[in-house]
Amino acid sequence: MIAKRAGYAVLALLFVVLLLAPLSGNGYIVSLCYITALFVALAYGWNLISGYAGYLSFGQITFFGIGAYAVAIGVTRFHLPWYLCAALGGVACAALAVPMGWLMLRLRGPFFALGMLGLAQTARILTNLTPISGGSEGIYLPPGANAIAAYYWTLAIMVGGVVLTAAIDRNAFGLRLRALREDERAAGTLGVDTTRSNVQAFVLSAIFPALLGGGYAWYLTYVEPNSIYSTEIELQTVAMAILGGMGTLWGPLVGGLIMSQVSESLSTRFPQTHLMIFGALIVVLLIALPRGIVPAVAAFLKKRGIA
Amino acid sequence: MNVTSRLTALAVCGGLLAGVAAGSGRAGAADQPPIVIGTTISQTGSYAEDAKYALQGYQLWVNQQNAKGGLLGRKIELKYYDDASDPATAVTQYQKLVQQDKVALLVGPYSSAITAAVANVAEQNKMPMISPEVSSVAPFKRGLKWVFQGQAQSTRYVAGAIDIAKQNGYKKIAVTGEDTAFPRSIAQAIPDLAKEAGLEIVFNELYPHNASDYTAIAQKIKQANPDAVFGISYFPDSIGLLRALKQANVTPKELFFAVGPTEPNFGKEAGKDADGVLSTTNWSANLKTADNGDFTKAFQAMFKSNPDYHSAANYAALQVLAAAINKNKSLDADKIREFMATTKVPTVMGTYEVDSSGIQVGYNSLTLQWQGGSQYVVWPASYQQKKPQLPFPAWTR
Repeated sequence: MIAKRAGYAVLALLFVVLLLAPLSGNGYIVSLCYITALFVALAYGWNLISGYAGYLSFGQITFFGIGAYAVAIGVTRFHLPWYLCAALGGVACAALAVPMGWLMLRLRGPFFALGMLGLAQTARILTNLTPISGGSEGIYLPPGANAIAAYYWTLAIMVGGVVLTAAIDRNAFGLRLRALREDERAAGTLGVDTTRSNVQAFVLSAIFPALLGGGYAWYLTYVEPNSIYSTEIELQTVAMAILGGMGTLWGPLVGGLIMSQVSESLSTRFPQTHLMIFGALIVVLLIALPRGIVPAVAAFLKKRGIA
Repeated sequence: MNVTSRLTALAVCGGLLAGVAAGSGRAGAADQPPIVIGTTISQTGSYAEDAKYALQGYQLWVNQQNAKGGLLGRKIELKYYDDASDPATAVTQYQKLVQQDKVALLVGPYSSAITAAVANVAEQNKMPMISPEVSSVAPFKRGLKWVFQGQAQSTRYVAGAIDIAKQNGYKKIAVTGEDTAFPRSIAQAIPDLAKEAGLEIVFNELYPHNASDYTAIAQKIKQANPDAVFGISYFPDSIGLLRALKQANVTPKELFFAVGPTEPNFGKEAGKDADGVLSTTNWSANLKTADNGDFTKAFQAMFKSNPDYHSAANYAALQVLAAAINKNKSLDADKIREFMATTKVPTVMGTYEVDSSGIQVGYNSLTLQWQGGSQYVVWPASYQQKKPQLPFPAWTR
């Protein structure tokens, strides 16, 4: 009980700090908080399909890209407010994810992972070939005080991720997903509508990167296929969720917070070798805590009888 | 540990820190603290190879200037982070340079993509910034006030090749190149320039990044039967295209590759086939621009290699910055911005001059030709080292 209360207190404090960060007037703090919130929120989206439903995806960046281009095209070509475009991007991706999920979720295990990777590459090439996207030259958005607006947008989506995951963690839908993850056939014979549940999880986990991609375009003021459909963003998200603990409520938050802070401080302290150190750190952590930080801490607390 | 001993430990730590701070303060008391100039450079990731030359241009200038006593009687320090060729990382680092490191001045990063993203940081913090590694004009067409282009515009990269075609009466042009931001921005400018010069585009198709086989493109070009072939290509694809054109026995009268053959290694790799190939550079060691001879010699002495046009452009950006500071005798951002926006400054690249959008109008591109295994400037006439040899010779040499 004490551990739980302390946990909630830390959480509330964290939220207040993140909420008030832009009041510092310090652009660096806003940038740091933005990147952290972005990855935590991306990890929450990824956690739904890959953590709870158990379908390992390397293609969520597809929806991130569509969301980013929705804002870039909507703002520059149709002169709409960016948040409206970002919201429309989210709606479009949700609609797109229904048939796409229905199709892709026929694939299992490594085939699904590879299929999603292929989907992201296809999306990148299609974007490049579509004239309205500006092709490889990209689209330049108007400069201005975009960072703070993009940050609050991202923070709201991050909080949404926590709330939604907390609900799924307790409700029947979450239970169905976990049953499917452990044994899809057995769950099916017990009356779980497998396709329906999996597609629902797929759609939910597509909405997150779509909305976040919209904010990212506004934050960067420039989109271009290679830096938007970025494999680095995808892999960093996956690494954060796995390190924090896949399929757990707090895994994405813990993984995202720790990894983005470590990554930032390494890159400023060891500018030449930071990527190597970071890679080695991930390897060591994964060997030491194969299920992630949150399950390891939970097991430790349980053993000591604290929680 | 009880509370008292903890407090004692804390006090000792604090005392040590204060001592260190005071010590460094005393060391700097004799003269003023250095002027810190901030930037990011892609030391890892896809831009790392070219970005190295850009960084060396900055480093050389800082070194030379410090040897001469710095600026305003203060030493200069270059503070840079590795942006890993990622725009979002660069944005965070530019914010850090401004907000945490409190750098006095900013200069631009490598590549158009990263400049486009960090330009907003310079704008928001009202810090003037010359960006020497952005050749696309698109970033400037959205109303930037504090950022200036320090590289020749990409549309000028092909001006020489088009003028040479016009002078020699070559009418039919084939255009190809890599489908990424920089080559594409050049390729897109060609139809208008060609029309003005009365030339006809008979083929226009780009190939994807990291293409490995150029046979199909070469065959299509052959069928279009052009007088001149313009490849907007980096080093590896220039070599690939050259070989494919030879294999398909395509025999244009003029053969131009935008940037690949600018590298001295092109001659080694292509051997005799390099002769007659035209290319573009925005700088040459033979230019009679401000301090150019000193720049080249000092660069060779410091880095044991030859500078390229990236090094020259980055060096030139700091020449302009220094001129602005010396003129105003201060680091006042508004005054520096005003100077950069309105003043013509002689640099190693030529005369720095920007228009009202911050787009570079002073620097020009030069056209090179490989002749007898060496590069010579053949265009424009005012910088000509040798006359261009045309038509492009037959492949059997």
